[in-house]
Amino acid sequence: MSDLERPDRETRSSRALDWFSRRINLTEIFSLLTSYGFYYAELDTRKPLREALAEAESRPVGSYGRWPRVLGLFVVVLLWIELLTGALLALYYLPTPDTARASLGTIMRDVDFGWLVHQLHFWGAQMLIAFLILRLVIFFVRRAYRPPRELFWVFGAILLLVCFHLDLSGRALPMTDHAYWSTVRALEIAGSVPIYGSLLLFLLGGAGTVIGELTLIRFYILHVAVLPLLAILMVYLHFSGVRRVGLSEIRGERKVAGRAAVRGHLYNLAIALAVLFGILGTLAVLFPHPFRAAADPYVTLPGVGPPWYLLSVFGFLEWASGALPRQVAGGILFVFFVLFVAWPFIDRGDSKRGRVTAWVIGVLVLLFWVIFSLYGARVA
Amino acid sequence: MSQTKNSFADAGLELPPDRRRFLKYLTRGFLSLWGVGFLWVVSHFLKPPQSRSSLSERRLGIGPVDSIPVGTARLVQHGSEPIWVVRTDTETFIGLAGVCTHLRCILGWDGEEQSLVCPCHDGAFDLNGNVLKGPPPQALRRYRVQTQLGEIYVHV
Repeated sequence: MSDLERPDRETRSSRALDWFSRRINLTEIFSLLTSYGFYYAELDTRKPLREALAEAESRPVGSYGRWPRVLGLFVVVLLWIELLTGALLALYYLPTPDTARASLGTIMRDVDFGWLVHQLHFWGAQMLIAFLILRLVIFFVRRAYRPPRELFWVFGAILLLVCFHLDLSGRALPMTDHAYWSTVRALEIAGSVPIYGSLLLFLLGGAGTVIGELTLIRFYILHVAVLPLLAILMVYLHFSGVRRVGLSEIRGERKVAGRAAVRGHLYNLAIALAVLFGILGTLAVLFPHPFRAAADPYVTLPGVGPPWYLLSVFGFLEWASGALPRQVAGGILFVFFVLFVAWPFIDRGDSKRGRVTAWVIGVLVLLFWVIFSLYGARVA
Repeated sequence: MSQTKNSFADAGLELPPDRRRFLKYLTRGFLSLWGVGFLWVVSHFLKPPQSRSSLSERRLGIGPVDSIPVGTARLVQHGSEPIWVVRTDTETFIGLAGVCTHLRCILGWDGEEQSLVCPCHDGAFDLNGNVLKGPPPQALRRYRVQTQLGEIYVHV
């Protein structure tokens, strides 16, 4: 029984809500605060909160907790986990080359549950990227980017790129040997992409040779301030889009109106959180990210490749290095990423031929990704 | 798409009220256990690690014995809790917390009165850490000071 079904009952909390609604635009604030996965029905922000909610609840909505939408739910929950654990780690981490590794040592050895927070942060990042890739693949296969949902793909693709950068900048922070050289490999890849590479290296204070104080603090600022804001912005844009055009259609789905839908969503979030914590905790305990020796920037550590999600790009650049100048190969990558982000506007797949073309392109890209990843892993 | 108020009732799954209430409390109970666990972990994480394991971390070397003449004192700047080290005679060193117990001002050394004085509210402490005058409610914490091979060490 919800309060909605008993309109005669004026509770104290609803009176308080009305009191605030007459003084501040509570609906606008509620709308903003819940735009990160908590509420996905469209709200009329000009109305008082209770009225707007009642109106939103009268419209039936689908469930977010259903395959394949649940992938989006996992992504947003993982983002919260990353933001929270990251904020906790930032309380002890000291971003200078001399102190970085020692401060991480304090976190992992001396601080209560520090190892857990650190491992959750690491594995959460890996899972976030994996889920984002999986989500984009499913998005592609279901062609969920058809109008009016083109921008959902664009936001998702940009979020993936932002998360790559988040993971890369985060990898550099501990200043341990493997992480350091893995970051250097990734920066070499970035440096070979024409416009973007020089811009990134400029922003990082002319990195590429040795990661010093200046570069480390810039990595840090990118990692804790700039990139998280971009990621949050992408999530916000996505959810504001979901509010406008609704969730993508699943055939035969029964939509539910009323408070049951909202409450069901909150319980789904709790279940997603529990499932993810289970997986992350298992990974953190059974496969802890090793705490390695301090990096020596003047001695190249052999046999270190870029992070797993960049192996395909690394493999491609290595493979092309015999035939093409590096900047040309990097240019091909750049064009590919532009096409990737802009794919919904390129796809003309409403005819049967267009659908077949889209499928062929998708399978080819995936195949290239797998083949070059394997090649890159072998070269590294 | 059928527009329904309650998906459970629609599917003919209306539970008896007492069982429904029991399940509701059970669910909320388990969810709040998550909250308790979360707060437990975060609050423990927020507390900076105190236990210093090795002797070199527990024992602070502050310089040669001669660096503090008899009848004078020195403020050892150590972390968030500075320590006054007073030399009363050639053999005796006294370690006292350098922070007033009243409103956490940093204490100063009064060489004439041989006492620690608080510049904020005119409080004063003797060399045992006891309050001589003023508003401080408690005595100062004492630290063990040791001399070894002409070096002064404070046990923190």
